[in-house]
Amino acid sequence: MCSQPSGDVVTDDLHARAHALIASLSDGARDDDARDRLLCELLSRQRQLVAPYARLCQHRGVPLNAATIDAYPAVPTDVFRYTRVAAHEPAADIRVFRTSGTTSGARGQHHVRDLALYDAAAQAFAKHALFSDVERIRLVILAPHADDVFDSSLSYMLTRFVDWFGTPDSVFVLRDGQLDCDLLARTLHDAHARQQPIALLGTSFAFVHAEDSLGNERWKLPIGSRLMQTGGFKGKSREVEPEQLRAELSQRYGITEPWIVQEYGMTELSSQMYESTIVDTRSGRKEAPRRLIAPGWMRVTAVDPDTLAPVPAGDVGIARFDDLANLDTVCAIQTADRIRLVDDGFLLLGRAPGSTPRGCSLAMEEAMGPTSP
Amino acid sequence: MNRSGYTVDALHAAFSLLADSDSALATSVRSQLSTSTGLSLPMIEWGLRTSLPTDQNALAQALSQGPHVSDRRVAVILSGNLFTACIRALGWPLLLGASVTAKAASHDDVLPRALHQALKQVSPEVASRLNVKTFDRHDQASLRALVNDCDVVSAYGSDATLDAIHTALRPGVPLIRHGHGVGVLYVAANALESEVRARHWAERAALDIAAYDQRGCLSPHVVFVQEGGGLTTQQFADALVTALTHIEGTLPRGTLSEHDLIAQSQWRGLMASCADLVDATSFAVAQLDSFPTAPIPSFTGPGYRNVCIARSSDVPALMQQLAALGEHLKCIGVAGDADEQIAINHALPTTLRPVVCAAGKMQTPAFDSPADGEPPWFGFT
Repeated sequence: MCSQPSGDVVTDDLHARAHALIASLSDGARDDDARDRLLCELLSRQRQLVAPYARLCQHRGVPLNAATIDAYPAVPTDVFRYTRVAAHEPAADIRVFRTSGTTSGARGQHHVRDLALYDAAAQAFAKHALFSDVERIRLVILAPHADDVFDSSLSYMLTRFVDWFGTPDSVFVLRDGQLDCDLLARTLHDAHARQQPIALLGTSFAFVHAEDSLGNERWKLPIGSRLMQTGGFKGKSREVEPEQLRAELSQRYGITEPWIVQEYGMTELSSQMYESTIVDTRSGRKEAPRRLIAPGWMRVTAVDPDTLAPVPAGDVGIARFDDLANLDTVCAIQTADRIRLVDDGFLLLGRAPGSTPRGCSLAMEEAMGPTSP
Repeated sequence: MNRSGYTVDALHAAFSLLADSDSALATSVRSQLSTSTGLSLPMIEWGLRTSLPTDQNALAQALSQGPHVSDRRVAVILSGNLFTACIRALGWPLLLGASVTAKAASHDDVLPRALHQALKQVSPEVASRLNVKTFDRHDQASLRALVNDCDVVSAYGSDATLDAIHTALRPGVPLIRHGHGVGVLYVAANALESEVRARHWAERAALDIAAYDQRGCLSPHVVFVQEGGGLTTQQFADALVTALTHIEGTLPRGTLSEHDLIAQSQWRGLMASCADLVDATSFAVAQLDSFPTAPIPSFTGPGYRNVCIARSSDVPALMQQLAALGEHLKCIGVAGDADEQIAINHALPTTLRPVVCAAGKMQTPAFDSPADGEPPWFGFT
């Protein structure tokens, strides 16, 4: 049952409780009842503070005293592209993360008032899913530093990873928009020579660029090395099927496939999800199927694209994420990505195929071309 | 009978065969189209009835306006959004005497092939001038083979598609571009002088929106309502909701793919968050508080009878609101007195070349009406 908070900001009390719950679930533990109760309170509060969400709730006929999380609608990601979704005034923004551009050029914006919860969530689950076996490791990052791309949540997260998990010789090998292949190769040779495990972290298209640039060179990185890739290709490189890319990366760097994981994150969210294979390997579940797992403070639901109601277990639906760390915007986010829930995680199935071609009647968004954010 | 007259007769007979819903060919075509297009059967019937030129005199009249190009080999690359688009796209070069090789959409080649079949039945000679091919749009080798064996290419599709075709052309082969586009509706204040008039124009607007499930390049995605009429924008929105509800009874919406359902869900969520939205199973009407001064494109919907309403103070203001659409604005449907169409035509800047017509007629252009500001035989000589 939700209580009905009052006041004009997301209260320190809610913030503290979210922080505490994230801390208590950071080792992969789950308390879904506690999570859902707090999510419900937050959504109720965000309804009071976030005008577009209030309007969405009103349109869907959500009662003011809605007591279950399922009563609250999720905000479509498109809303972040065209209107401000924030529980605070613009003057209180300390960071605005933006999605990569689309055909129309309108970019989703995630306005952040306080990065503490984002940091707590990102650090805790990366520790669980990527770095549970090490205190620190040399990070080799195929993405820009946050100082170079101030509005990229991925760059922010990876830069923070250096603070949390990196050794002093961690390095960014993507500079001024270019992959520095010489630096990457030198770093890999050095790691091999010193038998120093490393973590390669970056975007999928950066890894494809590396594949295309490194020629026939191969490495056998020391045991304990790992690789995290994220994001799609977004037209920035040739497209490679995930299984094929994983195999190519394994051969290139000499990292066994369980230690190559996909990260799944969205600018509109504050928490990230990772493939399960490192966790499974570490916990003796080597035969468990590769899947994405979410932290205990996130709720992942596959919903029907027409009714937005949860689909039967095992069916394909579009992903709704309820993220307790999304304190400054709205916790409930409706994506356009297709997923299937499996076991304790989900499979990401990408965008729906078979789009009915609109031919000459493309959406006006395409017709009108790029716009300012 | 001269050769041109023979062609008119053949095309007329073929079109009539397809229009005759009792013929075996036409029955089969309708069944196939319901699968390939996703449109409802009544919508398919409506599209065929309003698009097939079955008036022989009109065809002859149309032919008399254009040049004779019997020595030309025309490649026509069709898009897949509007199944009846092939009627004009193939009909005109055939009418003018050209030999036509058509690349049909890979997921829907039903009507081009049916037209070929109908022509075979009525005139093998004219049918021999039409060759229909189907291959994947990413098949560059087939595309190059197609466009390198012709004198002129007429292509429909997105800017990206047309650019890709352009790069495949051998030097000297002209490309007639039919780029992607949209339509808008404009409801003049005089259309809102009474409830009766508002209801009339709302019904016309609903037909334009519902036709082809709003997937055509003339389909309206925004309804601009001029302020100052006797009725409010809200009252027109209510009338439009009523009209769209009624039209579902006669021209039901077809099936949406999963992708289209997702796009619709995102758009409706966006509209529910920042506009007044009325959403039903088969349509949605979103009334914007204000139309964005900067082009904020996603306020327009994904098609499938999802439309938004915005206010416009007058025709000059409308022109400003439409300016960003440029050559992609294909049609303005006007609700109101005929003078309003004239005023809009006069006010159009040179960068906008839409067809301006009465609301309710946006999706039923005459066989010989201009397209993209040019006569239908443009580029074939």
